[in-house]
Amino acid sequence: MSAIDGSSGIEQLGDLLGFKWSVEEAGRIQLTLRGTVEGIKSASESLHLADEPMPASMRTGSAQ
Amino acid sequence: MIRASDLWMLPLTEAAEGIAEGRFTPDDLVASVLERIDSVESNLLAFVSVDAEGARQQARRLTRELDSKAPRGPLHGIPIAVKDIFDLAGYPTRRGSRAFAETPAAQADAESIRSLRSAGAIVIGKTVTHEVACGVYSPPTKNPWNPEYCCGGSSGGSAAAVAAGEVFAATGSDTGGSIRIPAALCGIVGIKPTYSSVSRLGVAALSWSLDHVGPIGRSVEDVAIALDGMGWSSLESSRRVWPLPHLELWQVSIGIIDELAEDAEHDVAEAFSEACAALQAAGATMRHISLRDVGDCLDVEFAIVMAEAGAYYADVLRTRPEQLSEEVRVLFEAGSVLPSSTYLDAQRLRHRLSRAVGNLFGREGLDFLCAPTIPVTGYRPSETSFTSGGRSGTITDAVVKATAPFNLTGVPAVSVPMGVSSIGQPMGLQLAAPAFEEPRLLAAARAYERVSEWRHVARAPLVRN
Repeated sequence: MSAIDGSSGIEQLGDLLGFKWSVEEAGRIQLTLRGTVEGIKSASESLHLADEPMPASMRTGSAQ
Repeated sequence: MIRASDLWMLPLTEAAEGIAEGRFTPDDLVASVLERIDSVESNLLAFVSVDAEGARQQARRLTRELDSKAPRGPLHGIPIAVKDIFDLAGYPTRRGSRAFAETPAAQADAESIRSLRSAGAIVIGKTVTHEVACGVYSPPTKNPWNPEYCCGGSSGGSAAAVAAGEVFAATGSDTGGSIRIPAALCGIVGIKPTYSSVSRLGVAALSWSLDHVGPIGRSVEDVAIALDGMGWSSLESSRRVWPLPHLELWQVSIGIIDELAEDAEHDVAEAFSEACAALQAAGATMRHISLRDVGDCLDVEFAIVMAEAGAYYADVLRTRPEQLSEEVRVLFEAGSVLPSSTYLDAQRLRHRLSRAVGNLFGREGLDFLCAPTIPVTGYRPSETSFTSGGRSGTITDAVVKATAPFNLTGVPAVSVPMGVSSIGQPMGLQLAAPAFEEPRLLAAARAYERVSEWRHVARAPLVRN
């Protein structure tokens, strides 16, 4: 099951997590999710993120 | 000699001097701001609650204290307001949300509020926040410059109350720009300090790794005093923000971030150009720089906010989702099922941005970065889309575009007034500095304030009866 494969998948995932989402609600969630997932995927590919290590501190990300 | 009823008009610095010199008392200041609130609040709607009697009691105690002791500091007897996501003992933290309408009163003050009270500040009341601090409209609060326009958000009530003279300073929180955006739209000063330099204990979260808390005031010096009062601390615990260090603009290099200035409306672009020219004329070295190779900060910002807010508000999403607005609910619900790989990639992109910004301050030798705080001259409550420079998007995306990068990197950023547009709305200049360099950042902002013609704008009575 994928979080972005369709509203039925979103509904099932919602059920698993204890949410009660209608088909219409799942559609709206999918739309919001798609833009963000695709934006991050596109940036990751164009910036060759595979070479980027995970930040030492996930908490701050601070440019100190 | 100012009349007692006009004391609300003073900058915080002058109010502090007046108390220290015995020209007036905390009682006088509180009486003046309560009168001011009576006069303008029905048109402004900046507060969710005003505790007039509690404020008078605090003022009496702090006035009596002056009989036998010196003032505690520049905040002794100064009336302030608190955004309604900060815990205030005895009051519910309703977060501007129906989901928290029945929440019980907080048992204790948030750590930053405890610090402000300890410094002698008097809490007048709690101010309007956009729903759960996630939005840039802050209904029902009006913009004190023109009630047809929004005051910004999410710390909109705090900014409007300060700009209208209802208090001398107020607290705000900033996850993508929520201190700097309303400060710019209300013609005043707001700083998002370095991540974790001011305690978030007792402040409702939106996004743990992006949330910052800080002050809003009518001048840079007022904000510096309030930032110390909130308990700002750097890596060296003895450092303070106030008094600001001496800084000459000819000694500094400032990077103009081109992408954050593009797509600005004509008036904002012109004002920003004039602000840069004023800084250069005062001796600052101005350099155009680019952060284009770090990708789109908005996607990174929203991926992190969605995921973290989805986790933080999971209980509300499960038990009473109908009590959140559709806009906020869908964003958080999407965050609760955002793929973990997307969240982690967003954090890695954020790390790339942090490194790029760190290099600008390190290898490139820049002292500060600058950009317009927001590219928009103003927006009405009904406006949701923004078009400029041939591009269009949502108002929310447009106004956080230049502020969110500094939440992602955690470095301090301040908004100072840089002019008034042709529609009569104020505009803001944003300056950013390396982490924990708030004293120098605010010294640079004060230097700009002094060379620009906008330093007295916010002192005018902004709300007409």
